[in-house]
Amino acid sequence: MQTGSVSPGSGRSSAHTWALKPVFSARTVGLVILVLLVLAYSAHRMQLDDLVGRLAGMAVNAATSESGDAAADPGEGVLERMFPLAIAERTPIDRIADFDPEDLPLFAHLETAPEEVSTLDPDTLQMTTRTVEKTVLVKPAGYLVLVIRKIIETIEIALWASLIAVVMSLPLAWLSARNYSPHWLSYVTARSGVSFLRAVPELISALFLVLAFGFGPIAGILALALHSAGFLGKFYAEDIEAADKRPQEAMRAMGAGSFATLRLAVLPQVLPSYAALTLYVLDRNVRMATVIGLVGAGGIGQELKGRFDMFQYDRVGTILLVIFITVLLLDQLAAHVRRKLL
Amino acid sequence: MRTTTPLYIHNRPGDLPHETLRVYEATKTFTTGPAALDKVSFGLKAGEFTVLLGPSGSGKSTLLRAAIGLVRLTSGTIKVSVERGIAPEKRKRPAIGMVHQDGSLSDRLTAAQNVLSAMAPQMGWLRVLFQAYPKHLQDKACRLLDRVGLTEDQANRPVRELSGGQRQRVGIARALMNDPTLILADEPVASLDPATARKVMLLLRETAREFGATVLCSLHQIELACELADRILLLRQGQLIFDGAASDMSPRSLAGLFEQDSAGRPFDLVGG
Repeated sequence: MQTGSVSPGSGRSSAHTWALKPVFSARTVGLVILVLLVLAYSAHRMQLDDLVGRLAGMAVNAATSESGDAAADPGEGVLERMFPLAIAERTPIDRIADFDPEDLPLFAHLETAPEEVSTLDPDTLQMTTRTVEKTVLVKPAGYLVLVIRKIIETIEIALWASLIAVVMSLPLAWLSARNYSPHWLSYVTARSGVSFLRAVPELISALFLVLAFGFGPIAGILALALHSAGFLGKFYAEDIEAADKRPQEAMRAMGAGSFATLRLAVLPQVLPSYAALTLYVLDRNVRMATVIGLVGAGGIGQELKGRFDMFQYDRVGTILLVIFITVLLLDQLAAHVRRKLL
Repeated sequence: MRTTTPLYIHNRPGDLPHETLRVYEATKTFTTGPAALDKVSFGLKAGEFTVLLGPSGSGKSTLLRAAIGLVRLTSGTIKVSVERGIAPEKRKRPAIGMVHQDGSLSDRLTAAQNVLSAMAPQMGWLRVLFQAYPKHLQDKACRLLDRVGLTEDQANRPVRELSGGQRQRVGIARALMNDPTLILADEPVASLDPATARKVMLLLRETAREFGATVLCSLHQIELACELADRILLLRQGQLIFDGAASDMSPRSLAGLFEQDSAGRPFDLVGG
């Protein structure tokens, strides 16, 4: 190694004639242009150019503070009508069966409030409006408590769905990991099963499951669990396939079978990633559980849909705020658990 | 990454072999490129500490991986004799321990769990699932970890928290766990600094001697090989070009062989 001279070996071209590969080839550039053209066409089809015009118009309106004709826009005013948020629950006592004024619920009090009642005057056959004093039972945080109870139900749905999904997807992941599936047939079957589970949206399967199991949490749990199992099965399997091969090879060299190798050389590697995926699925299931409530599969979504249809936007506002806070808190919790595990 | 059919023979009881490992015309060709192993033949006497020397890509790893069944030879045979160990007739393969390059331990398991994982092939699935090894095996793992110089605290720490030298010590303990007659070591000190590398190699030689195991260890450090080996095999481009006692050759002349290409010319700076 003391020769120091860089002698050109046989069949080598000298270095100054070398051509280095360009970073972007003509093919890449052409492909990017093609993709941009397709996107432009698609944007036109999706009326995105129209959206830009409308947004600009709204911005101009806001700047000139001209309210315009509010009636033309059905979405106008919903936001204003959400405030103040509905926190209390007011129930006229004549609507409560066996009401006992001596035995009020905790923190509740009675209020008398004038209420306008329209009745048909039998003599004139005209609607007359008169004011009557009505006693209402006011629970100061009554509605909030109801919403919180509903959101807990929603979280329970998400928890059970995630739990069932994990239990279902572990064997699915083993069968659909290319390097551990016992047979190519089991691999293909498991892969397509996982894809099918993932392909059916929760909302659609929830519609069918509500038909099968009736309104309530069971349909929601099953719909979420099936979809999540498809999701987790795919990503668990991909983690197994991507795991570091060296510890697995060491186990194989010691004569270990698939199970021992998976348990001792693969599982410890993929566990943090599994935990992160599972937490993500739990977080997603909480959000999805509110959505599938819309089709009657239990939880806060059912309440939300009811209030929305009755134009009680102050209650809708409360529900949305509680959902937002819940997702935020769960996100913090998930981040904390992930930090502990990694 | 499935293992190939093992090419091992079990000795009949009482039939003491002179050779622990017999490699006969081992040849391995990959679809592209020259042969990784080209008719390599040699035998290892029981208790020998043999170093397999050679530059990168000379076929050292392929030979060791073939000997443990991770690579299937194109032609030729590798035979491993077993004369002792826990109930060899119950084993699927004879007791061979392997020390790999860095990164072969499960780095989220503790050092002790890694050592015990060597016994997993002989355990039931429930024991494997919960890593519940019998007490006498746990004691044995502790003794081995103590022997390779780890403390109780380090034995209970995840391997990724240990230093490179400590990890290779754990690797040696794992290789010793199932009472091997043969220990194969594939560049066990490639990732270590020279001083640590020497300590780990000395430990490998001492412990192998204590346990009566034959060692075949691949290295690329010539000085270390000359210092430690009973016998040196030199592989170059898949061919065995030197086989002899370490005392037969000076490190200088070995280095000369090491740095030649197949035509006998020294490698220059752009070649090789």
